[in-house]
Amino acid sequence: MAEIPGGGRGWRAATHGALAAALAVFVLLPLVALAPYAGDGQRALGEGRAAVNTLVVCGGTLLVAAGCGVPVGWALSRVRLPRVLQAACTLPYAIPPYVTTIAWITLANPRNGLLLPWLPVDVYTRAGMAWVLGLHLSPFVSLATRDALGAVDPALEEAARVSGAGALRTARDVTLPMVAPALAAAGGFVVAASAASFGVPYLLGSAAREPVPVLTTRIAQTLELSPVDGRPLAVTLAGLLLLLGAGVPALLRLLQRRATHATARPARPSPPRPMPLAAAGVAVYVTVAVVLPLGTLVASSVMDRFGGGLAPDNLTLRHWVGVLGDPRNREALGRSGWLAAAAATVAVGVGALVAHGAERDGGRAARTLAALARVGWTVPGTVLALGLLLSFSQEIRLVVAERVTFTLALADTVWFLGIAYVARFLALPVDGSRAALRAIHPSLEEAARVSGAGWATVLRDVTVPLLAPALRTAWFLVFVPAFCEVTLSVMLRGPSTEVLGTRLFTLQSYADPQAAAVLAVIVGGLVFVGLAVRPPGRAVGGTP
Amino acid sequence: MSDVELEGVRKRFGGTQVVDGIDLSVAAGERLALLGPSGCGKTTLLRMIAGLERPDEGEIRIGEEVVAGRRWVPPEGRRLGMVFQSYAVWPHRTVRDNVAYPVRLQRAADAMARADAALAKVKLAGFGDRMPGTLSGGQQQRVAIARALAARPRVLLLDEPLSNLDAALREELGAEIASLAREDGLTVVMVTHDQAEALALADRVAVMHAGRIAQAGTPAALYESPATLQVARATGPLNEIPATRRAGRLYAADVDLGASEGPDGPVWACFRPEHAAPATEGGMPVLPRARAYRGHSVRWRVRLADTDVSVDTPPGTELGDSLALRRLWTYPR
Repeated sequence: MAEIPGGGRGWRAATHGALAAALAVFVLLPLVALAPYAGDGQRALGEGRAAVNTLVVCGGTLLVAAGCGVPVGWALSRVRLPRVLQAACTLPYAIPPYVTTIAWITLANPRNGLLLPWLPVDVYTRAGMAWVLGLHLSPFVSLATRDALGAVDPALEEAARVSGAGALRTARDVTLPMVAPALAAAGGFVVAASAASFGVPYLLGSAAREPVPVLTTRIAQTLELSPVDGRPLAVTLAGLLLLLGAGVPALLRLLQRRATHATARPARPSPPRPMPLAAAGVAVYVTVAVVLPLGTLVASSVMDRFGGGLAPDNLTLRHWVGVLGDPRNREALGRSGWLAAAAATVAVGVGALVAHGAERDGGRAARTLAALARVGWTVPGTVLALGLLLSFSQEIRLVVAERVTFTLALADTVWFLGIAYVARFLALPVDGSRAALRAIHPSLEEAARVSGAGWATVLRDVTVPLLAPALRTAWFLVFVPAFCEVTLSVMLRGPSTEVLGTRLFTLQSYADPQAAAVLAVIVGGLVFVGLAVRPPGRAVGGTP
Repeated sequence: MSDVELEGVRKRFGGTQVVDGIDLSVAAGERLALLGPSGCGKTTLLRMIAGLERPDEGEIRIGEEVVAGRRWVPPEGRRLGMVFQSYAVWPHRTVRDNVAYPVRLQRAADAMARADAALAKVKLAGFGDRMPGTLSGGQQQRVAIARALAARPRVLLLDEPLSNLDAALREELGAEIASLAREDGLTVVMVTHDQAEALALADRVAVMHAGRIAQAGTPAALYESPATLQVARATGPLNEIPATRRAGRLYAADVDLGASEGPDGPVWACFRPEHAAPATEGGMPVLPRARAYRGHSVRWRVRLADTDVSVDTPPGTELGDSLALRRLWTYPR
């Protein structure tokens, strides 16, 4: 439907104009600002190691994610599983990866890792990064597998069995080709997400005896060491990162388009069968990916001496008291809380308006605006942060008239973080609102227009009340990741604007891993509360 | 109540000319039905009267006021009532709040009382506090009608108001809408693809085809003397036989269909099922293939000139092997 022309006495035009201006300044400008620094190929060659590390980690992550995700996805679709187990299979993605990283450091560091007596593994390696990231991203593969298998008509497999193919042969010749496009798409996302990941390689790569730099951590490090002279190199690295993050999924999409399989009739999924061995396998996966790391964090947050185990005389709350008593931690927690709430509120408001324009107006300008609103989510967080830093690290003076001057001094303020969070997570409410608006028949709004309500009145009286459930979901979808945010925060925070994520990094890196465990438990707990309030959404296509 | 005047109204969507130059006037108090197959532009025309679409060219007047053309009045400024095919009853408001909403936007003090009065008119008194989700489809459409009436609109617009309802309810609600409109002397413009709905509800019918008005007139005039093949199709059941006119007579597959004035050449020979009857002498040869008893009549499927056609006879009449036509229309083929 086309947006009802005219009306609203210009409210609509004014609102959309303001939105367009804000998005241009805070999303488009930062990315355009990267361009002047680009083109330093010489120095990029010198950074070969970071690029190779990124590639190796991506490959390893894909192996781990597919190795866990495909069998688990198959089990989710074909095996009768307890409901709790089914739900738990999405948790690895819900928990911020740096939380599990801290757990895996406790479990598998080469000095005093808890697993050391049984399993001599070192998490401070590329394999360690791939392991943690792979587990974190495995739900994407398992859910894609589950959905793809659910869409395969069981009769296709039955026909193969009747034709004389065994179970394995059927899987290879019929099932796998049918689900391959979905798997390719999920794989592309895993590669893009692991290339863009910052927290995991930061925690695992910089504390290693032999540091393992990847592209994202090199960008942050470069700017930290030389905030101005480091820019060309940082931008060049960002270019490599974009190439990897956008190129691989695009390539896989291309392959996928060549191989789409339309099923003749809607699939009637075959009922899941009881298979105890497969169910046990899923239980092991959930144990390793969720229970073990979270349990480790809780345990190490209450252990007096780290090596003392969980003996009753070794239990203490002193880490909790210490962490919660430290005003720096309390300040960071509070700051993260209200920043995330503010960012979620602004993002939901802006996102809903942008989505409404795109769905109801449908004009090119409105659709461009909606596309622009997704950009901050599609590019790696490190690249967005870099762009924001380059654009706003200096004061921007807008001289309107001789005496009217606006000064935009964002650097090192909390506003900078807030704006960055909105730019980053805006795609979530845009996508959510667009989906919800498609389910609301336009005639509901048209009826209000004919009844005598203008554009803004229709929004207030009809659209927003009907969208409310979707907007609430979107608010939580922004609040939780913004509260735990670390990729942007590390690069954009000022000396006086520490947030939860950066505070946790500081504790883990320098001071007190057990205090970090306390904060990690708090973050994990918050995620669970968030999940309980709203089920995890299905926003796809972003990068950590 | 006001009259509606359209002059040279055109509208394009992408590469398609959906409404292609419409001149139409609806007198105050008149009930006009826009009839036609889907895609003929009738809904777009209605939405342009409502202000939900803006014409590319032409002018629309409601009463003395120009609402599109020289100046633009958005839908909320037009004081209309509209009933949508999808009901469009707001699910988050009670029935009474739904109906009172347009009244309240007019800043009337007695919005609630007027809402209740409108609800009583559509036989939903006592439903005011219910949520729309608890009502049936027919009841929701009544709410929508009450909402459209409560604001005392200048013109009532109906977009396929009955098409989502079952047959019995359609007839009942159709009669009610007609009597409500008559009581209030409302000007009504309705859109429908259902000939029975149009003929029952409207004083005047305009058949649309390819974005233009093919013919407008009373229901009887359109049914009895359709000007074009499309009008004949849109207003009732129709048999169409490919035929050729030669020297004042019609021939189809060697069968002589009778005398016909006009130039020689290929034509469609058309008649309605009730315009045929068993011939006593000198009829056209037919082969009855199937019959269906319909209570007030019997519908026969017969083979005439290599074409399957429908013929209605009174019950008890046997259709032999010979058929006579009381009326035959021809249209260019």
